[in-house]
Amino acid sequence: MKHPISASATFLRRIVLGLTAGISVAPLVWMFALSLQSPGEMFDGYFHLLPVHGEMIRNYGQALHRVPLLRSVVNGCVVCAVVLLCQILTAAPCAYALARFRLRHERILFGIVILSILIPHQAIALPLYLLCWRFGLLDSYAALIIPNIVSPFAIFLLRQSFRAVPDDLLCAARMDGLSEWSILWRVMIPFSKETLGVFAAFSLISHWNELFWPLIAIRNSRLATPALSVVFFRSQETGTDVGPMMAAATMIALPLIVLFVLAQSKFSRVKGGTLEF
Amino acid sequence: MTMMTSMKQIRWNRRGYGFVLPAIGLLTMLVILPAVAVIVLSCTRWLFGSASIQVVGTANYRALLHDATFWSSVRTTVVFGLLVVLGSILSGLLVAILIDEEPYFKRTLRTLHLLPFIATLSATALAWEALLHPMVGLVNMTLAHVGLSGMNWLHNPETALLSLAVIAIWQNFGYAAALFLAALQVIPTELYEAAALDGIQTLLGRVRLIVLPLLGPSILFATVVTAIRASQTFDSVALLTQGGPNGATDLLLYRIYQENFHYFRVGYGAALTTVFLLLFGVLTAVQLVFMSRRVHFR
Repeated sequence: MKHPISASATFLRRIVLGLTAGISVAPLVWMFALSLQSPGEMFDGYFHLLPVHGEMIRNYGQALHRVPLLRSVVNGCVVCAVVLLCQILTAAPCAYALARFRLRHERILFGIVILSILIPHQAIALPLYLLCWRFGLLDSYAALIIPNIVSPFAIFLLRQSFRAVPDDLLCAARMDGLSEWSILWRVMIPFSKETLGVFAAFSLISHWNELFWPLIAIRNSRLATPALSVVFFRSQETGTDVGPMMAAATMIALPLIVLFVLAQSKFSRVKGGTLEF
Repeated sequence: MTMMTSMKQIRWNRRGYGFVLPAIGLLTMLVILPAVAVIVLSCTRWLFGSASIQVVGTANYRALLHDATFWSSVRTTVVFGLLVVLGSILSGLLVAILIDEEPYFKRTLRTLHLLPFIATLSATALAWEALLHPMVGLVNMTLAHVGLSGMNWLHNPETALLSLAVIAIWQNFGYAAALFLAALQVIPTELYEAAALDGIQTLLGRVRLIVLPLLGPSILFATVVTAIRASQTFDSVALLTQGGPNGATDLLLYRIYQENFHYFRVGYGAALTTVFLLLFGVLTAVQLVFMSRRVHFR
C-alpha cells in the first residue's frame, strides 16, 4: 500500500483507465459487431452493437468463400512455426558460442550480428525479390520462409541471457562430460526460457502480421499469409459489402489475440523488461 | 604447457566456429550482402527487366535532392513520426502511472491495452476505416450527436495524416504503457514511503519527484522503439490512403514500395532505400545501446 488516496482521485483514475481501455478495444469490438450485421443495419443511421436480424452466417460464409481465408490462416500457422523453429535452431548455437566460448575474431562475428539488426527487412526487400525471381522462388512457401530463417535479434537476446548463466552450472555440466551441444539444449536453453518466450511472441506477432514482404513476393491467393489475405479480400470487394469484409478481418486477427490472452499468465512472469521487443 | 593451451584453443575455436558459422553465414547472405547490393544498385540506372545496367555514380542521390516529392515525403514522415511518438509516449505514460496505482486487475488492464499492438494491423485498419466512414462511421455519428459536423477523415488532405497517426498511436500506446509499467514495478516502495513522510501526498507530486526522474531511461527507450515502429508504418497507408489524398500520407516506406515495386525504377528506388537504411540504422543503434546497458534503479 503506497498511502491513502482520496475516493474522488480513485474514481477519476478509473474513469480515465476505463476510457483508454475502451479506446483500445473499441475498434476490435466494432469490427466484430459489423461482421454480424446486414448492410441495412449498418446504413440506417442508428448505432447497433448487436445485430437486429443478423447476417452472421451470410457474412462469414461469404468471407470464407471469396478468398481462401482458412487456407491463409493455415499458411500463417505453418510459416510462423517453421520460421520460429529455424530461428531458434540457427540462433541458439551462435548465441552460445558468442556468449561462452573465446573465439578468435569474436568482435567481427558479433559485429555482423549487430549490423544485421540495424538493417530493416523492408530495405533489403528489393535484392531479395531479385534473388527469389532469379531462382524462381516467387509465389512459394520458400519465399515466405527463407528470408526469415535467421534472426540477429534472437542471437542478441539469447547471447545476453546465456551470459547470465552461472559459471558453476556450466562447469558442473562440463565436468559431467556433457558435450557442448547438449549443454546448450539441456542447460542454457532451459535457463533462458523466459527470453525464449519473449522472442517467440515477438516472432509470431511480427510474422503473422507482416504485410510488406508477402505483398511483394506472393501473387497467388492460395499462398497468402493472414495479413496479405486481407489485401486480396479488399481488392475483390465490390461496392459497400462491409459485413463479409469485417468477418474476414475478425477471423484473421482473432487467432493471435486468443493466443496472446491465453499466454498472458506466462508473460506477466517475465520480469524487468517485459515484452521488450 | 603453452603448447597444450594453444592446442586446446584451436579445438575450441573449431567447435565454436561450427556453432557460429551457420547463423553468421546466413546473416551475411540474407541480410548483409543484400544491404550492400542496395547501396551498389543506388549508384546505377536500371529498369527492372531491362538488359542494360548503367553505373551513374551519385546521380540518383543528386536527383533525390532536387525531387520535391522526396522532400515532401521526408517532411510527411517526420511529422507523422513526431505525432506518433508524442501521442504514444504521453498516453502510454499516463496509462502506466494510473494502472500502477490500481490495487486490482493490473494484469487485465495491461492486456486490454496491449490488444491493439497484437492485432493484425491490416485487419484492424479496415475496422478503423469503418469507424472513420464519413456517413455511417461511429466517429462522425458520435460527433453528430453532440452537434459537431464530422468529415471525410481519410480522404481530406488536412486530416488524412492525422487519422493515420491516430491509428498508429492506438496501436502503440499500450505497448509503451507496458514498457513503463515494467519499469514502475521495480521502483522500490521505500521511495514512496520516504516521500509520504516528507509530506508528498498527491499523485502529481509523486510523479514529479519519483516517477519521472526514475523513468527517464525507459522513456528514452520507448521513444526510440516507437520512432522505429512509426518509420516502418506501411499497412495502414497501403490499405487506406495509398499515399493520398494528394501525397498527404506519402510516408517514406510507401514511397520506397512504389518506386521499387510499381515503377520498377531500381536505381532511384535503391537510393531512396539507402536514405531509409540510414535513418533506421541510427534509431536502432540507439535502441541497442539501451538494451545492452539496462539501467538499474537500485
